[in-house]
Amino acid sequence: MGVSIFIQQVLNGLTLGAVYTLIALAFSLVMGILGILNLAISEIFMIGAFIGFSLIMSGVPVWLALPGAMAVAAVISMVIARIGYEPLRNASHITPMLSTLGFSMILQNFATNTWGSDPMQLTLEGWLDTRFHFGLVSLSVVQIVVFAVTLGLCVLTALLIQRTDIGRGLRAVAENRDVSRILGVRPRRMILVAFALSGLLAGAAGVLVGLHYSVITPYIGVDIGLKAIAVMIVGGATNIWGALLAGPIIGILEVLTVAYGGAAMRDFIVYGMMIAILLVRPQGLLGGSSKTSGGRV
Amino acid sequence: MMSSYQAGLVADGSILLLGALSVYVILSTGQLSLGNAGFMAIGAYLSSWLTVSAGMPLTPAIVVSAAVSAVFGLIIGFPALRLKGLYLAMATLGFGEMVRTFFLNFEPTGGAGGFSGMEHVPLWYILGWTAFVLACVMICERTRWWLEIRAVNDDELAAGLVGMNTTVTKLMAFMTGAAIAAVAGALLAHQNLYIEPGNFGFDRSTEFVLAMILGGSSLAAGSIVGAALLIMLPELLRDFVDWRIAIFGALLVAVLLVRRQGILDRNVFGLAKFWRRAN
Amino acid sequence: MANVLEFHDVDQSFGGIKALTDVSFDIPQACITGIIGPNGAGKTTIFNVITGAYRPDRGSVRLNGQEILGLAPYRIARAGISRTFQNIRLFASMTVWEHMLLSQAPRTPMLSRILPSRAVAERGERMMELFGISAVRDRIAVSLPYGVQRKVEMARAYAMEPKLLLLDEPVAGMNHDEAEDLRQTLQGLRDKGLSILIIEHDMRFMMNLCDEMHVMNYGRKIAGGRPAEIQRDPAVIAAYLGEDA
Repeated sequence: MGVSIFIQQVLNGLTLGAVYTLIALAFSLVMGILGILNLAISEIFMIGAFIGFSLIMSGVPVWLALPGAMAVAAVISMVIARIGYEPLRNASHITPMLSTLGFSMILQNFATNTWGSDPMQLTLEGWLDTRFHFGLVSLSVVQIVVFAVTLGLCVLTALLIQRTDIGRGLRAVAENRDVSRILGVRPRRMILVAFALSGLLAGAAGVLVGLHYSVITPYIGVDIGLKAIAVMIVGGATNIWGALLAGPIIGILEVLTVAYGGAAMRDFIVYGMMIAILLVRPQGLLGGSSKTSGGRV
Repeated sequence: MMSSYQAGLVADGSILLLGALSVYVILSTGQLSLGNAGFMAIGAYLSSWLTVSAGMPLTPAIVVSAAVSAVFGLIIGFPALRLKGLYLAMATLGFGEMVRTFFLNFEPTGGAGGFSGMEHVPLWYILGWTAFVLACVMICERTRWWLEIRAVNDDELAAGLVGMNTTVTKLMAFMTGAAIAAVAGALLAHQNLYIEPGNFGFDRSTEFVLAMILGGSSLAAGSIVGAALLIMLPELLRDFVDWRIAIFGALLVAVLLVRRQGILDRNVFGLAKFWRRAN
Repeated sequence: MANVLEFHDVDQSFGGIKALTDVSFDIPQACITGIIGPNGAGKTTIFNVITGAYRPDRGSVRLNGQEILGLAPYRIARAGISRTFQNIRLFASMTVWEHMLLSQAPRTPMLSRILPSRAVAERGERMMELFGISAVRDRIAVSLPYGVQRKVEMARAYAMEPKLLLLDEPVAGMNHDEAEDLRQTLQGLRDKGLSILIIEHDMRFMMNLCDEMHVMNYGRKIAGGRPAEIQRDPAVIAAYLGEDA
């Protein structure tokens, strides 16, 4: 009994961890390439969840709702890049972060006025509402979807960054913006690409979290999205692959805390871990020590 | 005579001004704190517990809370010295959330249910504290201590080579900010008569930052303008009251794009000085 | 004559690259000592070791006989070493006058920080007069022309009442007349007892200014002595001809 509950919790933790991984990846793409913290990502994630929910409720199939929400999220993210980041890119790093804070206020207010601040419920039907049982442990179809989509998006992101010209451009901008311009990379376009990618991932995470919990509120941005900052830090803010390790770790840690320590303790544990990492190993678990400088992005 | 509604607005504005000042003092050394709601929570809970459960008069309770919060500022500030810019902002954000969840779990002060039983303070008492803190900060701004703070913000390395102990300067700023936020928290608790952990979330910390950035981040007077603006604007825009957060957000972006130093800056006073000399 | 600074047997490396190898020299009291050498020879590294920005692998740096290696930069500054920077580092938000007040702050008692004392104010005025910047006292320092900013930086450094003043390329950006004025100012300070260590590219300026010179190349000291001796040293001639003549 005890063991199967534990395994069940680990599975649930991995599901939450997958969502964290995607949002943390969204944060660290912008952080690793442009060196700024885009606080609006947590609200883009929330908007993604609402768009996905609304589409599914109006009868759009999940496989279409997901890219739809991702596209909307990417567009919002690109608008923020153009208005809120680019004019400020030569200011200190704090200034563009504050402007993204402005955008997150706008997005959250938009959501509360459009969808109300009460929780929004989704009833899953058909194949989505299936669970597979293995003894006392069960796994829902939604969880499998979450794992598959997360894995797929991570692989696609990795291929894009490591194997394509766009990826090389992004890495060049991450190394040195002025040099990258000499090499023929257009930094303005790369900024837009980085923000768009980050929006796509955050939007996908929103849809997945909605499916997984089947309840969302306009406050999931602050409740879940901001915690992805902790995931990013634990993994290593300038190494985007750190999120792949830290997401599952924090997801499992959080679910186990809820199961064995009490629901209210979980944020304490997650943020505590972030601060501990910042103090002991600021570069994060996978962070850029000199020997891995080639793998900064 | 003021209506009680107007009195409430003035009280809210004063508390917001104190919060903005608490961020301002820390930011003046180039450190952005996104966790001052945490210090505010410490001040609110500790002072309330002291007055309600320990029977202490309010004024000494506020002083004690501010001192304890300053010690927390030291505990947070010391390791935070190793962190710069965004990393410090993220660490303080984490600290703020940790304090909030601590009180969520801390049953002696009511946990999630909140804490009550405080006695209401008159408006003049809140205004008195606000004026006192504001005066202290504005006097500090005219001392050489503030020159040192600005030097750390401008160029920390050069400040060290001019013989300044930048560590002490930054820690002092952090402790001062923590103490001011605690005063704000204590006044909030004895104004609202009920506090819960949700009062001290991330949005509270950002409200402080917002007021200070809008009003002007290079001088204390800017926070007055910012706090007044945030309190007055919803009154002026009653038709759009549902959209006030979005309007504040848009205002923040606009100010950063058009006038990064905020509505007021040092030149406003520099100009006044120039006129005086010319006449 | 006593030495104000003794810089002995210093090795400094970054990663695998040796920036300084076994460098030694003394700075006599009330003298102007120069360090010359091609770019990348290690001149600014010496400044960074003296002011505590770098921790060398080996060696000793003594100020009036007291070891200062390993002290925090601000302690070294308070012990009596102040410097200027090759790429000027003034405080961006401050006027010239505020620079004068600030640079004396660590040396004055706590109370006088509330109201700047008359002594502090007078010294500030004197510094500005000495370097000819009194006319721009209320201007934001970084908004001034390059040459004037260098003077503000020197005034800031000298206002700290240093025992040793380090100047990193002080005449860069100055015209001939300004450089000549500066030479006279610095020699005047030396005659009043100040010890100065100076890095500069302008050889003619250095020959006229310095009492003693040390020549660096590839992180090693290749010569040291009076300017006239340096000029004739075959190793120096080789190093300079070898670079770009």
